[in-house]
Order: sequence, then structure tokens, then C-alpha cells
Amino acid sequence: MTNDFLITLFSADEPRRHRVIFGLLKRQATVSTEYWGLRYDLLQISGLMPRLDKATFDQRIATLVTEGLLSEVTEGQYVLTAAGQEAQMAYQTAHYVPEHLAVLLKYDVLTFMQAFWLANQVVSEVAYENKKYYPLQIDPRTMLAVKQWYANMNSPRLAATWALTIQRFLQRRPQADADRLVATWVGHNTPGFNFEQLGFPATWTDEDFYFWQLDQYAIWSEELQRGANTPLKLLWDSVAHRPLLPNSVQASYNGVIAGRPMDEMVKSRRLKVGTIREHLLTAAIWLPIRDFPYKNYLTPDVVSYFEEKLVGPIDGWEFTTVRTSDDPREFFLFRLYEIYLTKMEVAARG
Amino acid sequence: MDKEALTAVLTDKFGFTSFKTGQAEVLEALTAGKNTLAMLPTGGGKSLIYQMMGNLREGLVVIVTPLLSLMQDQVARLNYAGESKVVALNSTLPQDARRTILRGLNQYKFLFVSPEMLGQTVVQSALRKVKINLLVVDEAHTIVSWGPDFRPDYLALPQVHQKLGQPQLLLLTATATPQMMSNITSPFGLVPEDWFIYRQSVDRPNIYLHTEQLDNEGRKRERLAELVRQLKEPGIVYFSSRKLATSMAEWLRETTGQRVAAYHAGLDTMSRYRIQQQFMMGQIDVITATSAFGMGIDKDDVRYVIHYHLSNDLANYLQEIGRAGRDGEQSAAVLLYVPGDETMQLHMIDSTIPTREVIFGYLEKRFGTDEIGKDKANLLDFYTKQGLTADQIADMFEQRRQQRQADLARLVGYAKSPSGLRATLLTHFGDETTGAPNTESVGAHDWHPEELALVATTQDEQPVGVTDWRTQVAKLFNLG
Repeated sequence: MTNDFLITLFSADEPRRHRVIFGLLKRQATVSTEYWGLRYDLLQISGLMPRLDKATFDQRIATLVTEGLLSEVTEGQYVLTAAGQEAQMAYQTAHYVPEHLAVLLKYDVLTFMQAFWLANQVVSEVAYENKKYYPLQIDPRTMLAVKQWYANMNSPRLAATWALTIQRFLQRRPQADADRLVATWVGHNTPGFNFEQLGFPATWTDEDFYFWQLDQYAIWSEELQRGANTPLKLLWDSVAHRPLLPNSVQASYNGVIAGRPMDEMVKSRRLKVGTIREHLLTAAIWLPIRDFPYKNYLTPDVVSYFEEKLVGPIDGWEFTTVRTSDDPREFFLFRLYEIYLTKMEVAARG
Repeated sequence: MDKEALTAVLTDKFGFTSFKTGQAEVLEALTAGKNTLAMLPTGGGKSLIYQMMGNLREGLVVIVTPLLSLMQDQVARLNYAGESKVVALNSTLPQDARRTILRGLNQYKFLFVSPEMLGQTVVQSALRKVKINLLVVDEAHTIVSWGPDFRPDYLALPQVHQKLGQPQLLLLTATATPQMMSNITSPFGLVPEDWFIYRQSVDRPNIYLHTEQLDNEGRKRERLAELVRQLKEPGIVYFSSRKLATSMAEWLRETTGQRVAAYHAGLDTMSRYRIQQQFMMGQIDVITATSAFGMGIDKDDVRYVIHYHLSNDLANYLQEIGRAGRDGEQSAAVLLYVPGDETMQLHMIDSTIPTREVIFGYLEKRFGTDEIGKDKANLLDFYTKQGLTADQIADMFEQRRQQRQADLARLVGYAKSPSGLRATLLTHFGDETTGAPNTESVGAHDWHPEELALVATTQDEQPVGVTDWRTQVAKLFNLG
């Protein structure tokens, strides 16, 4: 048995690269990491643990191996053992399993959580007209965003409006979740409770608490996104927006959709053609299947060639089987075909 | 500026009517233009000195601070005192935010910076464009205790000082032997007449010193629980690892029924903040800590500090026990020792100081950064850049290893000593021994906390659980 969340990210049937899982958790995205994230159906953990360090991660994997729960099939690739499968199931009953990970891809929930903590503290102190307090030292960039937000919030009604917005949200939460969530907050003469003081199940760890909190702020983010323009919504707007695609990737994608020729994009954006192809693969990985113009590249000839050469499960395919020249475009097409079929598989599974 | 004029500023800006011992002397020297090394005891109000200078003169006060957590505490403390023109420049800031700060340095009165960040050319050139009021090195003993084999950028501070046009220096420490003090000042290459050295005795007569030798780990644990049950809170118990600080917090909570929380550098900012504030507000009785705790916390009424494990040396030990009794009231410092406890510290010395094999292997490119670790690689790169050969580096580290082992042995000597605890400490730091009676004891037999009025008399408050969110929200926002 294990208390390590990482056990939930491995499979008994499919060997998974631990480097890919680390890269996803840290959101250290390369096209390869993202492709394998798509194959493992793990894209939703992208950026889940931004503070994880490599040494700790490696140590945790090594412990799972020593405990006989993971087995290394080829270098850097692991599968769950029989004991690992049992441990994975046991983990899910004893621990908190995050339910709103998809929201984290849409919104920067982590930054919103931090910004909320500080803003909430400031408003609480304002409610007591107290200026002498120790402000929370959150990430400096977020701190600046909260400062700027507060500078525009100069209303005597701020505390009352703020409290009302909060109450409306809490009323819709289960009582135990609402009680605990508020207990974590810092404010006037209120230092807030830490994990072990909140009366969670004894089997929970710090990580469960972290996931539980993320879920609360993810649910809140969904509500705020739809909600009216309250001071809290304005704060959320200033910190929580996260584009699905990085700007440069979006620009390449937009170019393709607008029908701009590759050569022209290469020239005008001073990028290598390989970089633009990487952007397109990233876009294909993240976007719904209907939003990517697969047919522009996977022409009937290309597809029938791949269908003839590539047999068996996708993960067993080798690029060398289809390679005909040194043209890097061939790899682009090969990888795009794999992405397309993966998306089709997922769609078929419903 | 004389003491009277300084006191007027103190009252006007900070609301205090008098200085703590040493503050006025140091400020007089600084306003007279002297570079200053001040050794003031923990809790002696070192930060007020540079805050005063920020208010007395134009320009930027640059404070070199060793730890990120300490930097955050110091910024929060200045904010608390109503100072908003304060900023911290460290590795957690994204590049664009760093650039923004560096471009707008003249908007600030206080800049906190790590030695590594200060070593960067871009930071130095930004600082050359503004008027530096004062260059402060906080916890200045780290120049000699961490510089040589942990944070080499500390050793480069004198060069940085040169490059910045030799602004006035204020070096602050709570623990340094006379030898350390001279090692701290001499690299700056200033003539003795340019220095004002202020040294206050390290003696804290209100802290009762006590040591006990136990036979084994099990006995030590039991003894710790007895002491925690017996003594008046609040208290701090020091451990040498985060893991043990965490597990012992849980064990002590269960065994003693007290409100115990672990505090170490591995905690996230929010947890650290909550624990600090709960401790300040009396909602936590005991903190189980690693040495990360305390560098930035101001709690006056800590009644005891227990060391479950040894510190690195007497200087660190003194620094840590200095968290007790800042209010001047009776307090106690207890060191629990089981023969062999030093093994852990010896391992730590061995693992941090590169061996001859590692040094030659790295410099001859047989090992890379991956094999020897980033910290050691940085350290060796630093010395190579200084023009040292592999042999010279290896000899230096060997001396350093012996030095650290000898420093640890002195602390072990203190732990094993049948008597004369205070004399050992004072002599080590070059102070005269006072021979004050009844301020120390060795062994459980001679431990009588009741005579010191340090025995807990009140029933411990039970931790309050989570209450209804409506009540909590009403309290948070003063909703009547």
C-alpha cells in the first residue's frame, strides 16, 4: 500500500515514461511530453504540481519500485505490478482524488487561490480598519496583481460586497467543505488553520489537502467565469485567465486556419519551419479533433500509405517503418497521424 | 547625530521612547559615517537600526539576507511597520518582474537581496545608478560559516562592495566569536579606523542552561515528552531533520495533549504563515522546528528551547537558544544528548564538503554536475575562478572539514560537560564569565524548574475545531 498520489498515474497495461509524467506535472511542455501525455490520457495533470523537484520525484518513483508497486520494463518506463494495481485501488478509497482537473487547464486556479488568500486578508483587515498587519508573502507577480486590483477597489462597501459574494458561493457548497474552506483563510486576528487542524480523514496527506483545495477553487472559478462583475470577479479576471495554447502556438494555428502558406509564415515570423510544425502538433494535441485541419496534411495518399505500413497498437509504431527520406515533414505527418488516431480512439470510447 | 536627536526620530517614526541596548551607539557611529559591525543578541532589535537609517537619510538601504523565508518575514515586518517602499529581489521572481524592480530602484527605500542575486552584474549595474544609503549584511556570521563550503557568493561580498563604490557597511550578527568577527571584517580591506565594532556580551542571564545525557533514543523521547508536559509554554524543540520535526510534532500532540506544530523550510508559504501567526497569538504551545525556524520570528515570551539534536556548533546553538526569553523573563535552554548523536552532524559535514576525489574528478572533468550535485559544482567553479588549483582547493576543504569537526566537538563537549555550561559558552565567545549562581544545571537530578517558576500551572487549552462557516465569515469581515 502507498500514500503516494503518483501511483494513480501509472497503468498495468501500458508502460509509461516517468519523465513524461514529471514533465506534465511541472508543465514543462515539449511536444514529445505532450504527445505522450495524450497517449496516456494524462494531459489533465499538466501543471498540477509546479513546485515538484526532480530529485523528490525520482525518489518517490524509486520508493514505489522498492515497495514492489512499480516495475521498470525498459529504461525509464514503468508499469504497475499486481501489488501496484491493488495499491492504486486502495489509494483511491483512502485519499482525495481531484475531480476538477479539467478546469485547471482552462483557468489558472493556483494563481487565483493565492491571489484570493491575499485579497481576502486585505479585505478582512479593511473591515476592521486595521493597517498594521503582516501581509501574506505570496508569489511576487500575483502580489502585484492584488495590489493593482486593490488600488481600484476604493469603496467603503468593499468588505460587505466581498463578504456577500463569498457567502453566496459557500451556501452552495456542502457544509463540511464550506466550513473547512473558510477555516483555511487568513484575516484580521485570524491566522487560519493548517491541514492537520481541519479534521480531514486520518488517511489524508498534505497532497490530499492540496488537491481538495484546488478543487474548491476550481469549482469557484467555474462559477466566477459565469458570474456578475463583483470585486471578486474582477480579481479573478485579472489573474485566472489562461489560454489553452501558448501565444506563439496560437499564432501558427491561426495562420494555418487563415490559409497562410507555410513559407510566408516562416518569413514573416522569422521562425524555422520545424518550429511551426511543432506548434501545429501542440495545437493538434490540445484542441478538440474538429478544430484542427487534419485533412490539410493527412491527405488520402498519406493515410493509405500509413495504413499499409503501420500495423498493431499505436504505441508500438516506429517512425523508421514509414520514413522514406530525410525530410523532417515526414515525422510531422507521422506524429500528426498518431495524434489523429488517438483522438479518434478517445471519441469512440465516448 | 547624538542620542537625543536619534531618540526624537525613534519616537516620531516608530513610537518607541527609548532604544534597546546598543542600538543608539550603532546609529551614532553610522550617522558619523563609520562602517559598522554590530553584534547584538537575538531579539536585540537589529532590524530597527537599518529601518532608522532608511528614515534618517536619502537613498536605498540594501539588505543582504541569506534565506528566502527570512526575506519574506522581513518584508512583511516592514509592511507591518507601515513601510511600503520595500521590495525583495530573489530567485523566485520571474525575469520581467526582476527587470521592472531594477529599473525602478529609486522608488524604494529598502531592497532585500540574496548574496547570489547581488553577485549578478545586471543587479550591480542597476545599483550603481542609484544612491545607496547603506549596505547591510544581515546574519553576517554566514560570511564565514556558510561562505567557504555552502554559499560562496558570501565570500564575494567584499568584491561586490568595491564594485558598488564602497557604500557604508553595516554588518549585523547575533553570534560571532572574536576570531569570526575579525574574519568577517578583514576581507573588506578597510583600515581599522574606518570600522566601528559594537559587541554586546552573548550572555543572557535570564536563560537557564541545562543539559542531560540519556542512554538511548527511547529514553530521550520519553524525557522530551516529560519536559514538554512539565514546562510552561510556549516552547520550541529543535530537531536536525524535517522528517523528525514533523513526526515528533504528531507524537507530542498525542502524548502530551498539547497544541504542537512542525515548522521547517519545506513548508509552503501559507502553512508557514499560519503556524507563525498561531504561535504569535498563543494558539500553538510548542513548535517542533529545524534550524529554519526563528531566523525571522519575533515572539518575546518563548519560555523554553529544547534541543533534541545537536546544532552544528556553539554559535548556532547560542543563536537558537536565543529565541527564548526575549522579554527578559526567566526561560530555559535544555540540551538532550545521547552518546553518538554527533554522528548525524558528522555525516552532514562529510556530505556537504567535497572530498579530494570529488574535487579532482570534477576539475579533471571525470565527473560532471550530475554526479557531484549542483551545489558542489557551483562551489568548485567559484574557487576555480578565483585561480585556485585542485590541490589548493582540496587542502582548503580539508582544513574546513577539520574546523567544522572541531566546532562540533566543542558543542559535544558542552553537552557532556559535568558543570560550567555558561562559562563554556562565554569563554568561547570571548566574554568574561560572570559566575552568577543558580543559572545552570546538569542531569535530571539537578533539574528543578519549579524553582525557576517554569512549571506549567494552567490547564492546556484544547484546540478549537472548525466551526460553522457563517460564524467564521462574520468574524473575518466584522459583520456584527
